[in-house]
Amino acid sequence: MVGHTGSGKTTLAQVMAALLPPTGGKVRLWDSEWTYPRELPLELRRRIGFVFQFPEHQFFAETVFDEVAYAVRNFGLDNVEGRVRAALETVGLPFMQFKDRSPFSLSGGEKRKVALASVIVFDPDVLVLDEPSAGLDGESKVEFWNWLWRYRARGKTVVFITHWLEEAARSDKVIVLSAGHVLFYDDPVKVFSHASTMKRIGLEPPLAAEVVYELQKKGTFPWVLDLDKLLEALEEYALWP
Amino acid sequence: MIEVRDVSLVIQDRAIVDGVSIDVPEGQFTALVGGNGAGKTTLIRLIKGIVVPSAGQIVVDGTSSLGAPRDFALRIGVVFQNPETQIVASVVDEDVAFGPENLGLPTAEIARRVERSLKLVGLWDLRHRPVHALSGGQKQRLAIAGILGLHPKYILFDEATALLDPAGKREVLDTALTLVREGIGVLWVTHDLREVFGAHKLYAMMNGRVVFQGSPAEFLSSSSSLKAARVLVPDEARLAQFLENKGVAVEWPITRQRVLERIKSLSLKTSS
Repeated sequence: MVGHTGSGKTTLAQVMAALLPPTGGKVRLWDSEWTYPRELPLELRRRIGFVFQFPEHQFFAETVFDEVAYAVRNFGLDNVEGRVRAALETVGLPFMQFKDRSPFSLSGGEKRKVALASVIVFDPDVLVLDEPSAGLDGESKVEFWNWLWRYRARGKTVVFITHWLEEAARSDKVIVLSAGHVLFYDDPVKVFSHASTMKRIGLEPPLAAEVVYELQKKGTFPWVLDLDKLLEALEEYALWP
Repeated sequence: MIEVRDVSLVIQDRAIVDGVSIDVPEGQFTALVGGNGAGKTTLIRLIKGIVVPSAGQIVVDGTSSLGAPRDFALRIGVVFQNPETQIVASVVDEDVAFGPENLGLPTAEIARRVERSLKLVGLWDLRHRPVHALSGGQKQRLAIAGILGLHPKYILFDEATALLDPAGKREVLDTALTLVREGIGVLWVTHDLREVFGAHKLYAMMNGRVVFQGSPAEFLSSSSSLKAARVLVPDEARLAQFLENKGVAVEWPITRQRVLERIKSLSLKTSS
């Protein structure tokens, strides 16, 4: 889900995750339709995970272990330590090194990782993430994408907000919001072919999309969204000096 | 010039910053990159004087900052990541006036500083606007204006664009570049190399230590340094490298605009 600041991304994400009631319309989750989150059976609400944009706003425990273990204990799940260990290792934080530290003493990027671990620890079927990769270093972003892709392969639903359209281009569907409206909801290639609309609403299209957009004015060039495929296509379709 | 000399910070036997030496000259754009938890924010807190080093010293304009008088701290400003947590007043111009008022300056001088600061960051036309009506990029520029009201010589940006949309990122970076031209020394922390291709000098940190110093171009060609700093090579740089290998060089510093200009000059095998 992409869109400029104030386009309604966070609000829509919170409605999807049953954190905010819509003032009109309904949300369907599996076979349940609801307007007020409490209409959604508790066992279904436990299958939704939401990671907030500002992790420091959601921390309250004294140690990273207790922070991540909270949902596991609250839901009465077994094997608390095993689950916490696995969640922390998944986000790239070694268990022994981080379990006893205060979440408030961590760096900005580490806080984001703990916030993510505290949600994936109960293995939700629907995972909604509000700008999960902002503030992560480059390698951590790649590790996170790889993990997200494996999660999706297990049949999970993932919705994530980003300002980085290169990242959005990796998803199955892209939602573009502008001033509270859905402007596009389609495959990435179809959405990003509207390069000039993207720019008009303050979004920066993936570099590959901008290159394709320019080259298609000149002749035959295929639609590609990632850089490796772009370089292959340039090799094949361009005339070199 | 800010000179950080062999500075360490040890907390509970853990060296968060470990023997770091860097320079932040006036009128220059200095970049600092490094993975999450590498010690970048702690280094900024040390330079600003929020925490005291366990070893080493920080020399600002020839004087050690340890035990320096209070007004010394005003020479260095810091812009943090979150635009929501750096603003104290409810109206734009009042927020900028807050700092100078606390210095006990005469009213006319406060007004002069507010005007100059807001003009430098491009918010003068929005001076009567309520702060809650600003975009993220505008809030970060207001935070910068609040610092400028204190007449700093150096501003440290701690991932100041990380939470902004692309338009906001550009606004804040452009503002920082304007301040460099005004003679202010900027230290710019980021994970996005595209922001620092034009930097005068780049430092990379890992595990509390400086593991690279040199030009952005040298950094980009050192795969071990890129790996240590956990940064990704931007698509713009990869495409520029590809074009250069094909005999179509892109002028340094690489920008998306420059890459696209070169793309526009290409011909296709099947033209329309």
